[in-house]
Amino acid sequence: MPGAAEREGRLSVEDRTGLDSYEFGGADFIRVDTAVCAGCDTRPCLYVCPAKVYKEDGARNLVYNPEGCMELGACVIVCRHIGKGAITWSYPDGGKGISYHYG
Amino acid sequence: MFHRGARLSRESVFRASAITTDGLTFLEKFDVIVVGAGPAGSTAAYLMARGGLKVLLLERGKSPGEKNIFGGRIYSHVLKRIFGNFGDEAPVERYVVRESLGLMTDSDCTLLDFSSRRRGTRDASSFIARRSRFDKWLSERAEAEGALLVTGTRVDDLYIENGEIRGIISAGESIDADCVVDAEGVSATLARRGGLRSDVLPGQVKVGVKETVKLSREQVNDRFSLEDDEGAASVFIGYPAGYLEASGAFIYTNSDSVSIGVVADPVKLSASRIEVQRLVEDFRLHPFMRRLLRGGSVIEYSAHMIPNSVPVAPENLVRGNFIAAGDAAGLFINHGFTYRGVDLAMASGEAAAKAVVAAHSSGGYSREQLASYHSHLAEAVLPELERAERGADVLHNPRIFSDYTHLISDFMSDLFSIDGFGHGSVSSILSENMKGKVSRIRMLRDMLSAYRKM
Repeated sequence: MPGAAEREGRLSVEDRTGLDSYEFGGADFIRVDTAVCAGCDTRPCLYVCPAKVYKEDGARNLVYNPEGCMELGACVIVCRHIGKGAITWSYPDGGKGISYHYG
Repeated sequence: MFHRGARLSRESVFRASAITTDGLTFLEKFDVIVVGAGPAGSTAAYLMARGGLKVLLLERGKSPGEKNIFGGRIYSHVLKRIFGNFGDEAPVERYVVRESLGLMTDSDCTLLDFSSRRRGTRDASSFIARRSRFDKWLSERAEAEGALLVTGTRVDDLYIENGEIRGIISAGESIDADCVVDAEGVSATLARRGGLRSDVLPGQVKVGVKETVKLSREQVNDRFSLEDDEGAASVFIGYPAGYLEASGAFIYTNSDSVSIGVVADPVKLSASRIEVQRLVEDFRLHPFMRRLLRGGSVIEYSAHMIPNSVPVAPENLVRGNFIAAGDAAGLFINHGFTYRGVDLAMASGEAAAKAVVAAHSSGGYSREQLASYHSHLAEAVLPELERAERGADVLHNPRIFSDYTHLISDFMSDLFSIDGFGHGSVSSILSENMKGKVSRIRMLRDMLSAYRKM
């Protein structure tokens, strides 16, 4: 286990996504039928999304926030094949979304 | 055909007419639409425009490359073949002269480190780049040959009429072309729509997450033993990727920053309930990494999917007048110790361009006429991919990523620790460490299998 010194420098996902250039063009490029998620035990979206667009609230309900989406598209693939197929996903509109400088 | 292309802004059209020698050219039907101005799309567009075709190159980013991220390295052989001395004009961060492979546990790191000054820096076989600059540069080469680049335009669908692919649809408007080259990237939406691929499965992709850490140029040089435009590339397995099989981590040195990141299998992440965002942070905070990155701060957080295998029989990457290239075609090699995508993308873009130019000059775009795409791919790209596929099951051996990583780390620790007299022989230290943990026979078998397949 890392000692206290080694734990320093932790950055939350919000700290990190906050570093990125982003032009939000509306949330409707991701839609989740969270009623379907209620019956999903695996919830693979929680693990593959580096931006933590998908989270569980205190009552273990799946909640999501498309702001900060890094546009991988891995969520929809794992949801369809490992989860319950609740996620509908596309890229944001042309010219919107994330812009990487160091990609 | 822009009359219906409302989504193509006035500004775009205005810019188009400004860069087109004949201001009316774009009002005619395009010979070919290329979807995506990444390495595959821009290479194809460049070569097809040079071959005399009217090319429309569409990109969803505001600027080519801004949506793209990779570890950091491009093998330059295709670039050299097409552009000669690209180093004079292409945006190179550093040329790779130092390579390392690392095995990591939570506290230790065993490195196999190779640096070579056998050739001049610029003759190195690979270089490190930033996609926001490299992809933009490549798209500008295509524009200079007469391809019409329109950015900020997401292609939503193929334009299909009576079962024939007639072009593409963007924001409800269709644009016609004789032929469509799909270089849209890993999600392969159009490729699936056009029948080139079936659904993308979780096992056919990986998730790559990267952090860019700012250091000064001098700090990068000092900490990685480099000078001038020399660069270093490292790949790690074990701890940084949660000991998950077929997963790993990387470091690439930019000019005055460092790219660090993790490549992980979404199936394993989900099954192990490990968040990929945590892995890249674990890697950054590893004692070995903290010392390399001391004083640096994270300045960008990025991620992308990576194709993991060729999803279809390669001859199916062409259908009628529709061709898939690059990540959309699943062209990627992951050996565990190398990641290769950009050179394959460029080579497939080149192959697509050859097939389309030949079909154009023979007056049609039938499946038969474009089938030479497959034979061009088969000359170089496919044999290498097939070799990599054969080696792929080595990457799915969990013992390599966990048991052997720990074994080697413990062995190294004992080998180099002298705490008095009575230090054992190399072989006795090894057998002491293997006892009860690793079967000799199985290890020998794994080693042989890895050697044969890779």
